[in-house]
Amino acid sequence: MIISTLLTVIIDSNIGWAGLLQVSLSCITIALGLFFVLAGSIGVLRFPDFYTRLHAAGMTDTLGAYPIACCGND
Amino acid sequence: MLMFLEYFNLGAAFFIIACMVLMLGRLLGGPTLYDRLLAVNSFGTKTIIFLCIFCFIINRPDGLDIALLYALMNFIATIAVLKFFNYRCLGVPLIKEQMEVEE
Repeated sequence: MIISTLLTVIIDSNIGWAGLLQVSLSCITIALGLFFVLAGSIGVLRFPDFYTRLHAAGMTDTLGAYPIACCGND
Repeated sequence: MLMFLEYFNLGAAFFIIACMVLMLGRLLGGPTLYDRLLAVNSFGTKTIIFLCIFCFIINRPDGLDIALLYALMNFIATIAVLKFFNYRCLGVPLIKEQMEVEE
């Protein structure tokens, strides 16, 4: 049923298989970036030391920003 | 499917705003200066991520350039605040030999 619904959506929205692949990759990279942003925020808020907080902020800067800014273009 | 992508980007924008509120908690309750500065820097990073997602929502990728500009401004502002709290003045040369010659 999911496959038939997906086929109906693809045929109705007229984006094709390449468009579907593009949208799927965009959603995957944005979700990956959001996961690392949330992890970095909770780490900066709850880690006990300054240097561990610095580690969490660096996680946000690299793996949080790059997938969204460079790969998340729809 | 395209409508789904718009709702996904909208949810991502609100998610980033929630993470910025968490970062404000560290900014207000940081024990030292460096914790607050780290919170400000991370807040700026989340600002550029929010700007990127906003550009995806309104379908104008020109704003990615403005996001890169915000990243550069964030870096320069962090360096400036660190220099000010080290020397208590912004007109100090960064090279030590020049200072020794002047003294």
